Amino acid sequence: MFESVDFRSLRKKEWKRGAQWESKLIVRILIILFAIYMAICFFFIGIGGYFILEKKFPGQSPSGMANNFLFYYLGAELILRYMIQQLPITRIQHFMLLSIPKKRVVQNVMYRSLSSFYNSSLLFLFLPFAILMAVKEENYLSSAAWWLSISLLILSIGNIVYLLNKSRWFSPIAAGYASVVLLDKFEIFSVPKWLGEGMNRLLENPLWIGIPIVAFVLSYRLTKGHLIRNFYLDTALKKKREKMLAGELKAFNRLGLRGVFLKNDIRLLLRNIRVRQILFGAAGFLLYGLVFFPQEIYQESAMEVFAALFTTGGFVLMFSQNIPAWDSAYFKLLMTQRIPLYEYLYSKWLLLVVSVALASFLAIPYLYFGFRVCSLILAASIFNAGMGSFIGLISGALNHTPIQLNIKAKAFENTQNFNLTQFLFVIPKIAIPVLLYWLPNHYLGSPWGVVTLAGSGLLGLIFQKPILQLCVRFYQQKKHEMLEGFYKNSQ
Amino acid sequence: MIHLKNLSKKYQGTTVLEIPELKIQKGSCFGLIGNNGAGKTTLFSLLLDLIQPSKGSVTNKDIHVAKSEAWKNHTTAYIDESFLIGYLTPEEYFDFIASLRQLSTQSLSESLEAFQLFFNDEVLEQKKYIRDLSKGNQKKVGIIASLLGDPELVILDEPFANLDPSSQIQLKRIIQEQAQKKGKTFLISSHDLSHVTEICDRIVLLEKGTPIQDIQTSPSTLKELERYFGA
Repeated sequence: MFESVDFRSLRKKEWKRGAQWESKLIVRILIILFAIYMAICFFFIGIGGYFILEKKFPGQSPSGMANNFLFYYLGAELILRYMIQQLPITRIQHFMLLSIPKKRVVQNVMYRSLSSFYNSSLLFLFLPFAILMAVKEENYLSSAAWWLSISLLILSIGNIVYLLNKSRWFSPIAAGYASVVLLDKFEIFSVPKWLGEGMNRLLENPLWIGIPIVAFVLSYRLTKGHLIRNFYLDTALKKKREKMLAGELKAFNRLGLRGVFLKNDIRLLLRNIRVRQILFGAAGFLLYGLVFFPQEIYQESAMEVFAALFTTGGFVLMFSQNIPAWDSAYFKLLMTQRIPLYEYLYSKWLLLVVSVALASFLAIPYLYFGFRVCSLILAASIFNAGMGSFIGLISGALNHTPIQLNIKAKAFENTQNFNLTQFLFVIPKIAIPVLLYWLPNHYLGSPWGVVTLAGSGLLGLIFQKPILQLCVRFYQQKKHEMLEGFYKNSQ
Repeated sequence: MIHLKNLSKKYQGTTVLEIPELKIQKGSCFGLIGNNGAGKTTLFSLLLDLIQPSKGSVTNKDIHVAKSEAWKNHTTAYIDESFLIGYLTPEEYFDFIASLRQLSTQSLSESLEAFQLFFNDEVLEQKKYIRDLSKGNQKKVGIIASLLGDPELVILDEPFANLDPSSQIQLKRIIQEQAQKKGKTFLISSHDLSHVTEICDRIVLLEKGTPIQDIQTSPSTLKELERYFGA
């Protein structure tokens, strides 16, 4: 009987019967489009990479050069996967008590991870490179072997990450990797070269593919064995227990109720994986300007406002769209307590403003790009604090999808936290400030764009109280809808 | 204290709750029983304005719960885990609730002191987040939080479920004490007939959304109820 359990049909049902699956379908389509875009990018990096190597290192074969970089690529892949690739724990748990052999459940998980998006670089990056290599260097067999062995190495890393995820090996391995890099740097002993040499050997004699095959089989069996052996709630499937963060926070007590809410929000930020990801995201956005400001073609263009907005507003964009959904897990509690909504929203708003202030402070090094760039960043940050924050609060009130705080949001897999309304709200969030800058700049000349952008933000800050009161009324109207959405979709 | 009038709740044409009239006196311990789907939690959610009635009204101390929020000043509840904040420790959670109810740190620790026996050294000073506590201990946190700040009306949904036997006995004692000495009104739903008959002076039996029996508890009540549910 159990031999006929069809994991795929279960997955289909899980998806189709979830909340709001129609809007999820649209989201899915958008994600697929994005994936196609990524695939095309990979493709061009693969093809372009070959020609770039050919051009930059004349006289040397591009495949040989690529081999020299391979070690660093694999290292980056390992670190990246360790950060985002997770064992689908909840999917396993359901099957623990059913009469399905553990082996099959584990096998299914591992097969599925083979076809995951993380492995797409094999097809879209390395395959074009290998084909080009085969055609240009006319060594079809060894190019095929080369591609196969790189694929096997990357898949082995994918397997090993499952092992690392639950063990203490990561730091030693990371330390080992770092020391290998240092040894190479000081030219004492070069593992990267050694690996590259090995791959070159493979190009000469495809029989060397035996080594990657052995590596893959070994990593596969090791991981599978590890997962089967630890198929218990308190071992492989257990979530890590965390250290206590943000303890007393006594300083906030002086702020009254606002302080109480702020205290909770800080704990929310630091103690939940899903929210912590946003902090990392915001830190990433802080560097966003580095992509645009050094390039002359973007000067005085709308793209620069775009970059300036993200530089200080990353947190506002990501956090505000889920107010009050961050509190969805205990929203019933909040709604039955004496909670003055004004104070509640004020504390959230304050958090957003403080985040902008902090980001602006950290953005001081952008002075390097001159006064013009800095005034733009400052104007954008005033907009983020005075306008962006309120637009965020309003958009959040329309978001009735609950959030599971302690589960990572994963690109391409977990779309639970991705919501179509929020996606559409990105347009006013970005378009309004871009227009506020671009229109006056276009018609009135250079300083006016910055002036209107900052001015609109200042207006928001000056009229903070009445605007927030409007938000309060909006939240009151939406109370029962929120409660229903948070409850229904969390079932 | 509480007055339900003509109250009904429908979901897509199906009536899940229909109560022509129900009055609950102050200072009583009111028990609500009925099988799954009888409408107990729906009724509590209506009392707390967590869902909107299709028809009728709920007043709590003459305050229309859907129109004013003043009832929150004297009413507390523990319905399920969605009343807990998982990423706080029990102490932080109590602290949060206490500051919402304007309870000083001093009186908070005094109140908690009184429940030491109930906590059985498994709740306070554990350095654990609430989400990492067992179901039973989570429930203890929620129930005690609902008693902080001396509310006049406490609504508890299935307070005995998930508690170990000693804690169940402790909880009965706590509820009786709070009801008698402090004059609190309790609304309690439970599947445990013996507990309900023991602590409640009035019991209403819900079936498919309507009250079919309204009993003043007497020594024979348990037998009667067992007969009803056994048949």
